[in-house]
Amino acid sequence: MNYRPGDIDSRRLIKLHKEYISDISSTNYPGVYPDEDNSWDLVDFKKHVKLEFQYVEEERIEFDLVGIDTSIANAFRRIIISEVPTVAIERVYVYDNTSVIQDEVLSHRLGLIPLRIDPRMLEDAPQNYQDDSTDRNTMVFSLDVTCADRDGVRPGTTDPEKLYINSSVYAKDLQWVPQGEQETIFASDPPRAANPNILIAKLRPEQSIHLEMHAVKSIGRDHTKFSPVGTAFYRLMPHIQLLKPGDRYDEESRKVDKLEMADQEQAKRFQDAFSEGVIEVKKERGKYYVRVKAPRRDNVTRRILELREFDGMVRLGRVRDWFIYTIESTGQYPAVDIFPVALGVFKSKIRTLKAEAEKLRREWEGSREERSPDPDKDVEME
Amino acid sequence: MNKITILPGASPNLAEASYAIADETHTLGNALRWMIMKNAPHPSENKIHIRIQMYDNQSSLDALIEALDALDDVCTVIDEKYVDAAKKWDARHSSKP
Repeated sequence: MNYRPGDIDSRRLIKLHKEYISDISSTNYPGVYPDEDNSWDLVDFKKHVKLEFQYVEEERIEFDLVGIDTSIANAFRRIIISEVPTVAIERVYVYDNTSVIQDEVLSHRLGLIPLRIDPRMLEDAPQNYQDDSTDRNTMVFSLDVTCADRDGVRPGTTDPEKLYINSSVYAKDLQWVPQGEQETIFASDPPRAANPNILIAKLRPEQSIHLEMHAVKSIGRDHTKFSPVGTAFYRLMPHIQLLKPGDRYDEESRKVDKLEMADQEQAKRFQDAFSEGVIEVKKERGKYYVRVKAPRRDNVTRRILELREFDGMVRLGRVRDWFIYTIESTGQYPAVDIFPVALGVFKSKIRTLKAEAEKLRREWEGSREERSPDPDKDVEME
Repeated sequence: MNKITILPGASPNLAEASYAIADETHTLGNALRWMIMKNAPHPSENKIHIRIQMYDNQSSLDALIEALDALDDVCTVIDEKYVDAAKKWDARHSSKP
């Protein structure tokens, strides 16, 4: 999604000045502008909201979401980070650990390994795990490795990988132990570590680790290990408006798509004040022009505002309702699946609260009928 | 504990009321506030208070419920757009080997 800077309504812009930022808050509320309604309108919202992917990879996506308020965009972001459920190791039963890593440190490391298990296939973690753990809410893994000398090693070898068997313990050494119905249900996609090459511990001959792990479903608010993302963030679309010389108080009439430069050197200086690829220099009939080509790529350093020769020629900003989301999965979900799950979580929050609010309304109205005074009766004076 | 309660001091017709919502953070609170405004400080406690004052003695609880419905619609629309955009992306990129 690209755009012409002049096409963005100035009310949608956060303005970046040399020393400060202005117009941060949105103003599209009822009562802000005379003769304008601005109340919630679903049809209008549906017509104007836009969503487009910039790239989609297994573990990373970027997309534009245009036309929503920051409070909602931020709710999505926060839910992605801390309320989208995943499955992670929660309890570790250590039978034997003669490695140099202490039991509790090892257990913590195991908890942090992202597991490729579809969380939608599992129920929430049991309240009381000692009595209520079942094949529907708990996944069991085991780890049983012992380091030993390798036979037939050439004298003088120093590489531990060549000298010993199992000198490094990796996430791929976790063995899934199916319980009850799990063997058939998860047969097509057996539970495993999302990345097989995560180093868990190092061993030397005759050291061993033998333990059992119970993984359960929970959310990032409980513990960060349950967060489905490494990062989930958004930035606002940068906005660069070129202005031709003229009345400094009338920016509207000075908006232009391209700006004439004195010579090639000046055009280069203009271009260099922005991130790479943002500004395009073009030569037309012997004159040099600059044009905004890809505002998305700008870091908005505001360097251009420091250069005296370009004083008053550029208005910098960001589009307040244009969110460029980047979501990086830690491996439990394909990155593209996380956002819809977050929407579902948000919806279920709303529905739970709505049901409770309606209950409250019924109760409140009921209690009012009981003790409402007769409106025709005079007020009693004391 | 109730999910949502009316705090003391509300007017009988609920034209002005504060609500306490248990086990929710500003994730929902700020989005809800915005939607109510359309028709806070940073969180550390797992509980939010929302204050709604209405014009013309209308019920703030009605406004709250209406806003929840509208937020639900927002999610539905964005979900549809997301699925459409994903399909578009796939259509454009599936031709590549």
